[in-house]
Amino acid sequence: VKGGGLFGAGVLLLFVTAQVAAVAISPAEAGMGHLQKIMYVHVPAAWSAFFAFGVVFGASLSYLFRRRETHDLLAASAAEVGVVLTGLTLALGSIWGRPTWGVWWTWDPRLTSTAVLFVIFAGYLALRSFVEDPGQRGRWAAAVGILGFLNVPIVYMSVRWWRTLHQPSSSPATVDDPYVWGLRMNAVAFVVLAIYLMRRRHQTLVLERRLEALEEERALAGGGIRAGGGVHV
Amino acid sequence: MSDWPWVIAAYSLTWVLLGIYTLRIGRRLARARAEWNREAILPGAEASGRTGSERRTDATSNEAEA
Repeated sequence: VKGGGLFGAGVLLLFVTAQVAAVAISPAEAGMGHLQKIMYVHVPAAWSAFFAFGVVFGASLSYLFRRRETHDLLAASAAEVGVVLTGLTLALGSIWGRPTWGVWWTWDPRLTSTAVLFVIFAGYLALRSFVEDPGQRGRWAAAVGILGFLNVPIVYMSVRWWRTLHQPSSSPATVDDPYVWGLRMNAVAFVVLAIYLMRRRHQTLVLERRLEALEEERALAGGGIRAGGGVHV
Repeated sequence: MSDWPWVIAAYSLTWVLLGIYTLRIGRRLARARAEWNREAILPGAEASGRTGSERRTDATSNEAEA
């Protein structure tokens, strides 16, 4: 618990420092003025969501090959964090879009593919809540998680493949020097925050699963059947 | 119109959404830990160094032998 508290305090400090430094020090951009500062939360939120969905992909593959329930629970934790961060990305994009494009939303390829990504992983979470059998839930969720991740490169490449209102991907290669370090710092802060959130969700899911297994074991013992030793997660 | 209200709205949304989510999962983890401590570690299990689950498995084995 102490280690977790220290990690949490470190994440908070990094998050505050990165945002305050980027907002306070970066100059107003020639075209967008101070609206550019939204980039420091919008872009890192999108990158950290991609990172989270990458974890879903890796953990789901690992679950299908090795069948360790902890990998399924890690995928579930990462999917939930990814959905929150994708929702935040879409909302921040709207706040940026209204003053720059004049609309809150448009069916642009980048926006649409991001919305599809959000719906796929919201569906992934809904699927998990519908299926009761842990084995079946794990297999089905892993399939959706792996297929859902295939949309991430489509979202990333959408601004190159199609004519789009959205500007090219913001990265140190496409952003001017005064803004690069702020973007990098906030990207690191968001990814570290995503790791922290995934870790806590994973710890919770493991405990909840163990409690479920304990209840099953109790029910079996109560019915005069020898318990099988529970679930190892 | 000034840019700042949009910037403030974006950062406020970020903090409110991530703040609520972080607190929510923190509470859920605390609840799961408390429940685990209450349910899985029966009184006396700490002293024997075994969890309630292990003690129950022993009990069912003894019942089966009897």
